[in-house]
Amino acid sequence: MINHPLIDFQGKYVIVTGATSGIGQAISIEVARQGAKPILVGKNPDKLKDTASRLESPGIETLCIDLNDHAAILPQVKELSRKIGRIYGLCHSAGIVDTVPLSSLSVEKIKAMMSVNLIAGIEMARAVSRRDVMEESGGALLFIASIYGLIGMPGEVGYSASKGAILAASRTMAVELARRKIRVNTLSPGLVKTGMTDAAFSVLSEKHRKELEDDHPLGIGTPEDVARAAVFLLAPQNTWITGINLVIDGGYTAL
Amino acid sequence: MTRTEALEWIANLFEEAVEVIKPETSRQDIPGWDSLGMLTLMAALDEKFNIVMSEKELEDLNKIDDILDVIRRHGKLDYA
Repeated sequence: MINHPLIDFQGKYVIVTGATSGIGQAISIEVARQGAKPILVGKNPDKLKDTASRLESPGIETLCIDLNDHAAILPQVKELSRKIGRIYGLCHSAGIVDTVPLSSLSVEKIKAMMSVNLIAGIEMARAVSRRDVMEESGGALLFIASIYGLIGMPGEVGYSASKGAILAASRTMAVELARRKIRVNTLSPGLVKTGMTDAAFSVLSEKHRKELEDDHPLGIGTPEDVARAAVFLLAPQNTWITGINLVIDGGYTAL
Repeated sequence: MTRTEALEWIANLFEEAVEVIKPETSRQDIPGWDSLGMLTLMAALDEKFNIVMSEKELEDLNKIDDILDVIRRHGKLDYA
């Protein structure tokens, strides 16, 4: 009996945004371990180079893009595809959070979060899913959302809005792109220890932080916990999974 | 807009290589020219050339030359 691996990306290209830190970096490492060629997207060339060197995987590409420059996304992805060939997948992991109460929220802060968390994600999807960019047999798009796109959290009005919006947009993309065998899913992590969440939670009181940690029955997560789930949703073998949101939160929303 | 530029514009619209898009290329041979592609074409003609067409009018277009004709009729295509 031949033992087929459950997951094998077979050298397919997967673009990962936010690849130089936190969850995005962990996903880049994990997809590479499972046989993909990751294309690392970030805005800092030195950090991209550093992450690429740590992956120890052949065929890694980097794409230096400022995700706030929405007009640059499509031409740069098209150009890269012309150079290296068809792309199989996208994981939009780049995100920013600005934790402030509603009274201190500003239009600029909301726009900044929407720009990266939502608009850049949709633009990346638009570029990667083009018929002249994506593999003709189909592909997979994955967006790293958040449980705060599903439930309320004080101080996260703008962030919640951006993550809720990408959840909604993904469902429509899933329906629209299914006929081309392009699967679109989202992952909603709970509290994961990264540089970004450290910054977000540094403004909270010690008591509030402790409460948040206690609210996760399995404790707070690691980027690797999220990366394993991301690989599952992106994997070429999981051809019947689309339009779902996988909550991975150590039991936070089960309480 | 020249005919070459128009063909490039249409190729990009339907996400096809420009070599594939010729005046005689039929709708059936362009995967991106499906029902959603028609909506894309409708929006793009409006945005790029200020040409407003109904879905019914767009349904009557069967090959690339028909799209060129529409652009030409609205005076937006140079006669080469």
